[in-house]
Amino acid sequence: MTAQRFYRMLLCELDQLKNAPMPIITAIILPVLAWTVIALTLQQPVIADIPVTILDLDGSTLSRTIIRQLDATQALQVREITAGEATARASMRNEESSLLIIFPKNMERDIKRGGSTQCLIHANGAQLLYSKIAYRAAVTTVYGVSAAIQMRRFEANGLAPDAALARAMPVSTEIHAPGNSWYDYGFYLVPGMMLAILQMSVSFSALWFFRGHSDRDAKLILPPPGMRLGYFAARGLPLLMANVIAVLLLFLVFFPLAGIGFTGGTPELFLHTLLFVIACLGMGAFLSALFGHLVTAAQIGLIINAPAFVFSGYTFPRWAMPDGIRVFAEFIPLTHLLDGFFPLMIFQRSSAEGVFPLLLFCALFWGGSLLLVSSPGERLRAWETRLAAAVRTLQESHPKC
Amino acid sequence: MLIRQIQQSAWREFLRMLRDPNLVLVLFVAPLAYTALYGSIYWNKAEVDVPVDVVDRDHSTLSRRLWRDIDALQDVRVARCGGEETISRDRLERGIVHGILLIPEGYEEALKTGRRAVVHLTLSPGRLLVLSDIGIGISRTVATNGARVTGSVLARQGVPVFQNSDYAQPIGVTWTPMFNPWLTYGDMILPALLAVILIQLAFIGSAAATAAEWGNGGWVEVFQRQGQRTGAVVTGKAVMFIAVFLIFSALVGCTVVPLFDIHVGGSVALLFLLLLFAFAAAVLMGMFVGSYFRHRLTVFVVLGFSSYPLFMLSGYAWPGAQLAPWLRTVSRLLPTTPFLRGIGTLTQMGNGMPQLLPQLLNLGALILLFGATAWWRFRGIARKAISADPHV
Repeated sequence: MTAQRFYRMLLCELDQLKNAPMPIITAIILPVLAWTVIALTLQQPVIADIPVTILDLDGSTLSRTIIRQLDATQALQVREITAGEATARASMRNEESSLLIIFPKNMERDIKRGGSTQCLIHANGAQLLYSKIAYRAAVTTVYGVSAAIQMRRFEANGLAPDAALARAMPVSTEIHAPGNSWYDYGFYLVPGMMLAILQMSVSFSALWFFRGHSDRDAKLILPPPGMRLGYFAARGLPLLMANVIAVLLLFLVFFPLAGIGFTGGTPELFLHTLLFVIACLGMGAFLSALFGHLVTAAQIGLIINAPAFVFSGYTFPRWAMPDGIRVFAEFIPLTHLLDGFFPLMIFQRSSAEGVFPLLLFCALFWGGSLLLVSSPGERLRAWETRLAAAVRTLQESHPKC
Repeated sequence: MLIRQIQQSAWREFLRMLRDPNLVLVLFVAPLAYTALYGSIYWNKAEVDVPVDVVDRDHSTLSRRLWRDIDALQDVRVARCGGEETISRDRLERGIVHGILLIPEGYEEALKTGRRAVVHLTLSPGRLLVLSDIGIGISRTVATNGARVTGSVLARQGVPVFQNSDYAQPIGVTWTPMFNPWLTYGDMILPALLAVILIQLAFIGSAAATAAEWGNGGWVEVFQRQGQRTGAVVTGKAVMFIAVFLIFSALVGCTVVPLFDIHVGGSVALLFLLLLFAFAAAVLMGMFVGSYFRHRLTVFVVLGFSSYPLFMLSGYAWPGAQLAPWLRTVSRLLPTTPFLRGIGTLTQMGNGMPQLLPQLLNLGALILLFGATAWWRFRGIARKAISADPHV
């Protein structure tokens, strides 16, 4: 295989891509469209102003103070204050509010008499994200007011103001989320989803690796023994370049557009992603060689790629999944990319996490593709043809079957 | 005559589905296989025993009691308790644990002598559920432990905290989640997940089947040889797809739904109505979109990318109120949005017709929109087919 021959093959490949650009469209245009939608969807990644309905059966100064404090939090917005229980419950049922807080009758009077009271908080559990954030904000506010009342009581019992404060709020928990102090949900949803789309685009773009670039069912192209390496290089290089352009767009345009900033480790993240791209190209090429029908290869590709983000464990943790599903998740390249990607992105932690499995995927998919287009693959296809012929013969001899 | 043509068109579509192994995979195998596969992720519904490290710098009775109470929480498991923060930090960064609780030196003494103590909880920011799930539980346990110690100390000083329990906590909170009593992710996401799988398969399947008409002279056969009317072809095809997906929905309802213990609070009749409207809108949209593709392969490749954006736009996983107003309006033009909202209101919240009506009206408008566009597009194809245009 001479350099001149390789150059001719490369030119031929580029010419094909110019006339039938489906692999390039799949590698660049389609993910860009999907990333745009994701970036637009997560333009406001910090949850704020969750609608709250207050059922104020007390109507006192104390209840109004708590309501004002609730409304002043970033997370909550008091949408409605009512004294009618039916109205309050209807607002929850109609999804106009995500949180219902009930202040009982005589709340202020009971507290002034040295007693206590119970606020009822109902959250709409069907809106999980809202209900947990809203609950945290509401409880912090109510307990803050409660601690202030308790402090006054302790002072009345002779405790100094400092001691009273310490006794009213003896211990508190400071919660830190390093690298994401605003609990920005886009922080992991954006990279996770965008990289899941990247897996889809890269592997789909390589579906034509052993076919003509037609959207029709092109026949399998089997490179002759002496030209296999050249074929792989000539076909793979333009595809790799197209996908690298997509990765550059992702890092330089879409991550910043979605508010994802990298404080460090960007070159390493980029290299991790490139390794992932090579593994996913291998997956596409392997599917292209494995299935006789290109549509079947695309369907199998869809089955692997569509659930990738859910299986990766970033929405629902892998340790909480059943064992069989956890094993399936290990066979998805995205799982291993994200395992290495987030520690690098958040903690700038240079680690080999996920690199070895991705290298294994590269070897497995590209090695498998090579085998499928050489003699073992030919034997497999010959066996398939014989099997199909035998089935046909059987059907012809027993028409009722 | 029209009814007969619709029947003929529907029957032809059914035979095409059966003869095409790729369509069989999408229309007959995938609805059950996909729902079972995806659903099984959430078999356990909630995450339990999230591993957390404790860095106990106090080594006191109270600090030990605190982390044992935390370990007793259903959501949390104390994976390691030691005094080395760097080791735990390393474990957090490597994803072995998802939080570190740091109990400072002098914790017990501060509580006993009436000074404020602060414990630090560092959570992994790279996971969706950890922050809200374990953060709430741990901070409540810490507050309860502190209140217990303070109560004992104050009681010794003559403050009537135990004699008068009201005294210690003037305003208490009783927390009751509605519609998802255990606040589990699985209970929330499973109905939507099954719904989105079915509607996406209906959309992609009908688009792929329509695109396949371009091969082997399908359009010419329909419009020229059989002389079918456009309305009959659109209706016949749509009826067949809707029927297939309604049957599969029923099968999913009888198998996958009880298997994963999915709560259906609302009326089954209303659920059927919602499915009917949603499949009609999705199938008509699929037929319209699919008619612009010349081959099924392109349909699978291109429309495969739509799943993530459609799910994100639907307002189910990511609240619709967080979307820009114009994007919210755009999302209403996609059947997934009203469908998933309807699914949520029916299955989880157990609502009835008044709450479902806006979604049905939205889907009804989409049926008219995509029905009209599909008819317009098919009419254009029919004209070319009748004039035996070589591109048809």
